Parts: sequence; structure tokens; C-alpha cells
Amino acid sequence: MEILDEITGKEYEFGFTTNIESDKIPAGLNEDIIRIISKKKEEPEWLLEWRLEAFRIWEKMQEPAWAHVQYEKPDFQAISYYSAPKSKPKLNSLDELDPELRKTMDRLGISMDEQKRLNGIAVDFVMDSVSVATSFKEKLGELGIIFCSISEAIREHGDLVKQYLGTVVPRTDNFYAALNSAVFTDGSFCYIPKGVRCPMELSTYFRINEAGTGQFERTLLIADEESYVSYLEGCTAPQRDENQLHAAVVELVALEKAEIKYSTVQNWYPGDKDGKGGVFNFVTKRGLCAGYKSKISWTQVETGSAVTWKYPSCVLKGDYSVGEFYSVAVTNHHQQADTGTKMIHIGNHTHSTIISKGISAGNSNNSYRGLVQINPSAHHARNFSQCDSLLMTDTSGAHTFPYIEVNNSSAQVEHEATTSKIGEDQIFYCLQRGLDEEQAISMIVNGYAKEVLNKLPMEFAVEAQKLLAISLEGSVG
Amino acid sequence: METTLVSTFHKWLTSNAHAPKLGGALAEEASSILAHRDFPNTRMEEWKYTRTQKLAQGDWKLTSGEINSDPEFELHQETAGTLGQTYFAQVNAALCSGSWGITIPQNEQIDEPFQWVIKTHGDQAWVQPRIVVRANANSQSKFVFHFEGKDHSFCNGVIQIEVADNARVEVDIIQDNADAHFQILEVNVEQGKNSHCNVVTHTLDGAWVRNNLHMTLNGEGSHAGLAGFYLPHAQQFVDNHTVVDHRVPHCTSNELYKGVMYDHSKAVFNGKVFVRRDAQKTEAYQSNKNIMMSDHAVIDTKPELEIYADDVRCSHGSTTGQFDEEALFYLRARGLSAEGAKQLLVSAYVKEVIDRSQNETVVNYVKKALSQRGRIIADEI
Repeated sequence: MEILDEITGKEYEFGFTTNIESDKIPAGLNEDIIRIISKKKEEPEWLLEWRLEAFRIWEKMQEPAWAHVQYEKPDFQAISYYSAPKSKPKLNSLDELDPELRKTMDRLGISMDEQKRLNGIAVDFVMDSVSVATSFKEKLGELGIIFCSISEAIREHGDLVKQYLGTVVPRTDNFYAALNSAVFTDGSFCYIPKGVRCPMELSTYFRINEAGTGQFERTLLIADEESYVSYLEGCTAPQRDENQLHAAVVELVALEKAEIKYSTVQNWYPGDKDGKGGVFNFVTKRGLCAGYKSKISWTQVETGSAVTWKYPSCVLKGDYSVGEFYSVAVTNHHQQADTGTKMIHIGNHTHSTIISKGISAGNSNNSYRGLVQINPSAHHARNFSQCDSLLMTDTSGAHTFPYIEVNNSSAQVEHEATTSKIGEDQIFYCLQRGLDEEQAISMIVNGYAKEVLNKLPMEFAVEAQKLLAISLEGSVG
Repeated sequence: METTLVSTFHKWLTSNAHAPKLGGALAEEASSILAHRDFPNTRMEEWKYTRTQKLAQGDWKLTSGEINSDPEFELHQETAGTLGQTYFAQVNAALCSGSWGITIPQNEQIDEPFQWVIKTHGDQAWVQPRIVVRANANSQSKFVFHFEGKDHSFCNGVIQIEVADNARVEVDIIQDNADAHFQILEVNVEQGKNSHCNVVTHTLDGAWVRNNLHMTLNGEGSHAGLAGFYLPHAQQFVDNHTVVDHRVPHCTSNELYKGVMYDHSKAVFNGKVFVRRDAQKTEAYQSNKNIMMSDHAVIDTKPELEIYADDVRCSHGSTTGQFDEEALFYLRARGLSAEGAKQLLVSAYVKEVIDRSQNETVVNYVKKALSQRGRIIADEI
């Protein structure tokens, strides 16, 4: 019981706020606000039109209610849609950063020096609405790789952005995607040219800092023919009593024989132990395997957010393309997660794999919701799905909602799911070998999630394991 | 837009026309609820994959149909049963075309099965039978419900079964529907302590079938068994929606549904398993397997688990695929034709479900019927 108290009392490690002067527009959402955002960002006319059209679509849409989550609907007029650390002159290197900002980054564990020592992860740091820093730009530039904030990409690589923006997640896709299209303020952009294997992990760190704001970032990643990139994404937010909204859109495009590996460690503030506050994480992520033998792999470790509504998907259009989804979702206290994936098979010989591991503790609810769709055109498609749930308390819930639609006779689709708790015999076995109960549980949970954690790049795997431990240790009595 | 079925149905209600109706209270309650319910459509999660337009557009004429029971029963007005949750169960309650109530006395063991043959023939015929079974404590009984639908007709049946403490009930449902027949069947089972109930659905032919099987485990130590197969041909459509609701600890359930899809057929499977907060030590297994024999067939399956207790063992699995090439090769090498080899494999595959029935007569009947239609190879061969 002691352990239980200790854990439930565990503070959210990243719950500090940074005192940086910020430029924030008044709350509310209408066409004028969108014009202000667009103007502040010095955007071209086509993008403003694109945003306004998205806003009009959004106005006609209704918030989705089918997910297995309950929450108070956010008031979209009470959110400020643009907040930026007071603008500074553009920096040439990270050493010139605002010291306050650097301190924030250090506290988040993304010290730039350390990254350099680890031999290279290029980081794009997005605070509130705008990208504040991108590292390793020159080195990447030599290979022709474009890695910058999406605002910069709109200014400098407008054609590329225009060509791909909204092609994977159209504005009409869903309520939050439409909202994001109307008001997105920043995010990362990445283009890997033909035949280039990106030599380092690319990474974006998102942070909501200001109160009363929402974060609406947009990520666009294009891997040209025969290229490879591994991309990481991390996120945190300060501890607040209010619910903050995060509605992002991520679009990936993999052309012929290209491979994208996209990893997320999601650690938004989950609310306190009574379920007060926390981030609403309503995210649309989708990848398009456009070309022959292209591959997109999603790996996610979800430990944060009060409510999660997120389905990273793969559209397997190219023949022999491959989609993968590896997920560990941990919920504790009053967190609610409804997460999973969609695998849309269009091309021949397309393969997909889904491994989802849910862990529910406290009074939380954790749902897997996934769609496997084999279209009539997809001959010899193959899917394997496995969704396991682990229940830590008798007040938590674990749910599985797989949708399987098969329209082609040559398809092979398998789905299996199990739900169980940590066996007493397993714990007994560990205790017998001299581990205490805490270590035993940690070991069993890590073993349970290992299949997914192994897919993470090394640097992230360490962070993910630590997060798992923080979120869960001792939550079984 | 008001569909024809809805308007027909309202016409019946308002005109108070002569129809074999249920006793007042239930029918009235059902009609008042239905006045505020939307007709099922694909925007509703429960009907996501099931098209109801053609059903809604039918100009159905309510009749009592031809229903034979063995042994023969009187029509009961009192044993109306409950309202039910689904739209069509309530339509049945509002406008029932014939109801039977049967009670198995305490400690009674009846080996001979009770049988109903429910025929819906003739264009535009609309039959809404309702059968309420009460199996009292320590009783043992078997039931067979044989549905036969032909022509452009519609049968919307409700079967409610109450299984008291320590009782054992075996249910076989045979569906043999051809042509443009629509069938909706809701089977509701409520189980008491240490009871056992096994429901096997044999869909021999289904022109358009929607089954809602809902089993609720209300007493500790009870077991629910669910099984079914479907072999849709041509344009046939078969939809099985099942719910197993574990409300108390120490219960078990086992579910197996298998399908073979031919031609332009379509099948839907949705299995829900609920494990309520206090239902510790539950063991629930669910499996749905499908074989695709044609490029034009469609299968939409959604096996769901909703679990709120931690000390449970639950699993579900769903597969869709083809026959093992090696198995086919093995049989071909022993002189079977390609067609014969497939048929033999289908036979073995489907028999696993048929054999879950505890009623030998039904098992033999179903196997014979399927082999006569060339779907499976009979045992003797």
C-alpha cells in the first residue's frame, strides 16, 4: 500500500512553466483570427485561402462522439490560437538562444550539447505555437535534406508544401483535422531527397507553455524514392488545472522504396490523480505508402494526456508496400485513451503488422480501436494484429474494438487479443529469486512491452522505459 | 424521410387493425418508444455494415404465417416476455403475430426436444413470432427453432429464454431462407446461478439474415456457449451480432463463429464480450474464422472486448484467409479433384460448429441438408 501512495502521489516531472514573454492573440475563432495568424506568419495568399476553406468545412462538422471516452467538450471560442515566445531575430546557431529557453530545453532533457555527444539527433523545438530552434541544419543541408519548421518551409519551399499539404489528411477528413488545417501555427517539415539515407535521427520536441492556449502543429514529412528517415517526436506540457487542447496533424508520404520510421513518446500532462486538468490529445496521423515497396512504421509510447484520441494510420497504395504499428499505451488515475491504427490495403502484396499493448491502472480506461481494410484491388494482402491488455486494478478498464473489412479472397487477416492481469505465479517466481515486488512488476511490464520498446531508437527507448516506470511502478498492490 | 416499413408500421398502430396482437401493456410501451426511435441505418454503429434500405422499402403485410410446434402449444397472451433493446425486437413487441410461452417445471428432465417450424411464405408476407421459454431450477430441456423463409417476405422473430439456477438448456436455431426473404431474429438469454445454456445457429441458407444473440450471465458459476456458421452463396447476406454480458464472478463463455464466403455474398460478424466491474475470475473466449472462396465476397468482422475487472482471462481472435495450399495439395495427391478437396476441407471446417449442438437429430439433419446442396460431404462418404 505504501508503494501505491507513493506512486499516486508522484508528481508530473515536466510540470513546470517557463517565464518567457509571449506574443499571444486574444481567444476566439473566426475568419479574422485566421487572417491574423496567417499575417503574423507572413504566409502566401494560397495558404490563407486554404485555411479559410478548412475553417468553413470545420464549421459544418460535428465533434466525433464514437470514441470510448468521456470528457467535457472544449469551448473552441475560449482558446487562444496563437502564442509565440516574443519574436527574436533569427538565429544562426542554438548557442544564441534565449537563456530562459535553453534552460527549458535542458530541464526537458534535450540539451543540445548532449545530443551532439550522442552523435547526432537533429532537433526541432516547438514551444506553444512556433518552432524556436532547429539544430544540425547545415549538416543535413549538405545531403539535400530539408528539415525545418513548417513556417519556414512555406516561405522557402512553398512548392513542395503546396504539392503535399493536405494530400494524406484532407481538410474534410475529420473535425480536428479541419480545425488544425484552419489554425495550425507551426510544426516540422522534412524532405529527404532521392536515394538519401538520413544519417541521424530527426526529432521534434513539442511543448505547450502558455495557459489558455491550444497547440495545433502540423508535421509534413516526405521521403523521396529510395530514401530512409527515422523521425522522433516528444511532447510535454506544464501542470495546469484547466484542460488544454492539442490537435495536431501529421502527414507522411513515402515514395517508391522509401522508408519512414516515425516514433512518438507522448507525455503531455495527464491531469492530477483526481482527474483534474490534463491535455486533450486529439491527433490525426496518417502515412501514405505511395510507391512500390515503400514502408511506413509507427511506434508510439503513450503515457500522458487526460484524453487521447489518436489513430496513426497507413494507406498502403503502392504494391508490396508495408505498414507497421507498434504501440504501448499506459493509462493511470483518470486517464482515458482510445487509440489504435488504420491499415488501408489498396495495392497488391501489401503487408501490415499491428502490435498494441495496453496497460490500465488506477481508474483509467484504455481502448484499442483499429481498422484493417482490404480493398477489392489488394490481391495477396496480409495483416497480422495482436492487441494485448494488462489490467493493474479492478477499477480500470481495457477494451478492444477491432474493425476488419475484407473485400478480397486472397487476403490473409489475423487478429488476436488477450486481456489479463499480472499472474500471481509470475510475481511469486520473481520474489523467489530475490527481487522485491516493485522490481518484479517493473520487470514483467517491461517484458510485456518489450516487443514495442525494441522498435524505438536507442535514445528514446531509454526515455520510454523510464516513463513506463514512472507511470506504473507499484500501481498493483 | 419516412420509409415504407415505418409508415406501414405506423398505419398498423394507428388504425388498430385486426392483427394477432400481444397483450396491451407491452405493445403500448413498445409503440410509444418506437415513435421516438430512428429506423436503423448504416450511420448507427450497430448497423454500420448492414444495409436496411430494401427491408425498409418493402410493402409488408402482417400475417400470422404458418407456424407448427411439436408438441402443440396454445397461444399465450400472458407470457409476453420483455420489451428488448433493439429496434426490431420492439417492433415485434408492438405488433406480434403470434406468441408462445412455455415453462419447464422444476427438476424436470425432458429429453425430447421442443420444436417450432416457422414458415414465412408468399410475397409481402410479414410474420412476427415471439417465443418465451422459462426453464425452472434444476430442469433440463432442448429446443429447436426452424425458420423457413421463401419469396419476398419478412420474418422478425423474438425468442426469450430464462434459464433458472442449475438449469440446462440446449438451443438449436436452423435458418433456411431463400429468394428475397428477410429475417431478423433476436434471441435473448438470461442465466441464473450454475446454469448452462448453449445456442447453436445453423444458417443453411440466408438470403438476408440479421441475428442478434444476447446472453446475460446473472448468476455465479454459469456458462454460456455460442456457436454458428454461415455459408452464403450468390448475393446472400448474413449478419451475426452477439453479446455476452458477464455480470457476476466465476462465469465462463465460449463463442465460435465460422463462415465460408462464396460468390458475391457478404457476411458481418460483431461479437461483444462485456466483463462488468465485479465479474472477477471470468473466462471468456471468442473466435471468428472466415474463409474467402471468391474475390467478390465481403466479410466485415468486429470482435470486441470491454473489460472492467482485472482478474479475468479473456481472449478473442479473428482470422480471414484461404485454405492451406499444402492441405489441398495433400488431398489432390490422393486423387481428389480440386473441387472435392475443397469440399472436404469445408466439411471438416464447418462440422466443428455443427458438432457443438447437443441435439443429434439436428446435427444429422443439418449435415444431410448441407451435403444434399453440395456444400459439404456427408459423413458416410
